[in-house]
Amino acid sequence: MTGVAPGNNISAYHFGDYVFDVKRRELMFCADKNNLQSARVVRLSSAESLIFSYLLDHHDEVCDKDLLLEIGWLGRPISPNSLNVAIANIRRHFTSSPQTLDIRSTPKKGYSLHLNCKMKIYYGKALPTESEPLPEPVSEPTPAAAAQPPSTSPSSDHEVIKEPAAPRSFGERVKLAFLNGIGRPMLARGLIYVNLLLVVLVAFVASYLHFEWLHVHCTDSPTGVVCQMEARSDVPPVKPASLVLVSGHQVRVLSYKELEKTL
Amino acid sequence: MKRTLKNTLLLLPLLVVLLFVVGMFINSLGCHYDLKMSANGVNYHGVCRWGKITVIEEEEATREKWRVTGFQLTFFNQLVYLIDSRTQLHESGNDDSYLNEYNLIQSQYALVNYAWVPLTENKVAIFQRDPVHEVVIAQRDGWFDLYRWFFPPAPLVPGVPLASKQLAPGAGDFAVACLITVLPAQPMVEGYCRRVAGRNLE
Repeated sequence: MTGVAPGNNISAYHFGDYVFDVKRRELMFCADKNNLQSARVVRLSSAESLIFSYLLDHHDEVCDKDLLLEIGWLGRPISPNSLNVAIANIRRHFTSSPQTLDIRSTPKKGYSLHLNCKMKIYYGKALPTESEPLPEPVSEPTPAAAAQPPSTSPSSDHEVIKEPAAPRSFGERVKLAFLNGIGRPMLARGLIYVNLLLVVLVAFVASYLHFEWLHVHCTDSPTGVVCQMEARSDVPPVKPASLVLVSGHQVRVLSYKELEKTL
Repeated sequence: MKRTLKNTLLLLPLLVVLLFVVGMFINSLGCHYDLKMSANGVNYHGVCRWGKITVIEEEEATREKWRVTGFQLTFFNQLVYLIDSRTQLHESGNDDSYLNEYNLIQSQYALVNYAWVPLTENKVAIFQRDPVHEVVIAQRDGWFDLYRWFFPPAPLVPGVPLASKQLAPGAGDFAVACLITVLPAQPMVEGYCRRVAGRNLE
């Protein structure tokens, strides 16, 4: 259990005076970028790390409680209060600089993380060592970032440093996309509506088939064949080697030889 | 995990229905037949390819002629036609035409359905309920849908054994050779051989 969010290759997030090393689950606070010795490092639990990574990935979005529980504890049965505790712990790490980010709770829905500064994302790249200075952090909220509506895409206001992603097979990518997509709460709601529509549609088709289905019943006797559909007249006795067709009041009797000559 | 399971369960009925509808549609697209029949003094000649059917109706007494086009859907032994157009090709001016009357009445309906029963290799009985009860014997060369192509239905009327019939030279030989080679084999292959043989009989 490393606490690395599955499905991406992000190694670190850098926002304000903080660097969150996803792989080591370490949150580093460094007010003085030229003096890394003064940096304060805290280690997050696996669940906290996974939840925090997800919130950072989906900042300015309300993330569903159930989804966060599932992400944090990978589907293991867990008390819903554990999420509140994990969020409280994450919040506690930012008490020294509350202006950097804000984790808001939306009653009965979930949590949303709001960044007041730019964020850099490092893909598959080792973090700078202690001898190297940290990348230039942007600690002050920029007017553009502050004015952004909550729904804005993260790529529009946050710099993303991409490394070539690790090669992944097509099947693996499809599986990940499917698992990421199918776990979404919006999909569940949409599927419920689609299923309701489907029930109505199936009922309509079933009633149509019930009323319009033509039941033809054929009996094969040693002398001949009788096929009838909703017969409303008596079926005549079957002569040897003959065919009797009945539809409502209409009755047709013909021998096998006559049948051969028909048309 | 719980949500994923829930969503998967919600997706299942959708997939089943989708699979069923797509299967039925593809099956119906497999129609490939010529249909000839006569009823109430009207000769019908229909051709179905790739789910699209065109029927030419001609009344012997008045020479009235209509063309009806539509799409075919098959479901077990049910034939459902979604009528696309009814066009009068020849107008005799005769007011007493059963065909004209029939098409004018039927023009109100976009959906017509029939049931069919295989009588012999190439003859079927077609049952109709609306607008009136009717049963017609039709000659059908080909198959109603993809499933019937692979698995031809067993005829109800015992036919003359294939070996005793006179086969046309050339192609007929192929059919017999085909039967000898593949029997006993898959019904699909056997059906194919019988169809080829049936076309070349007499």
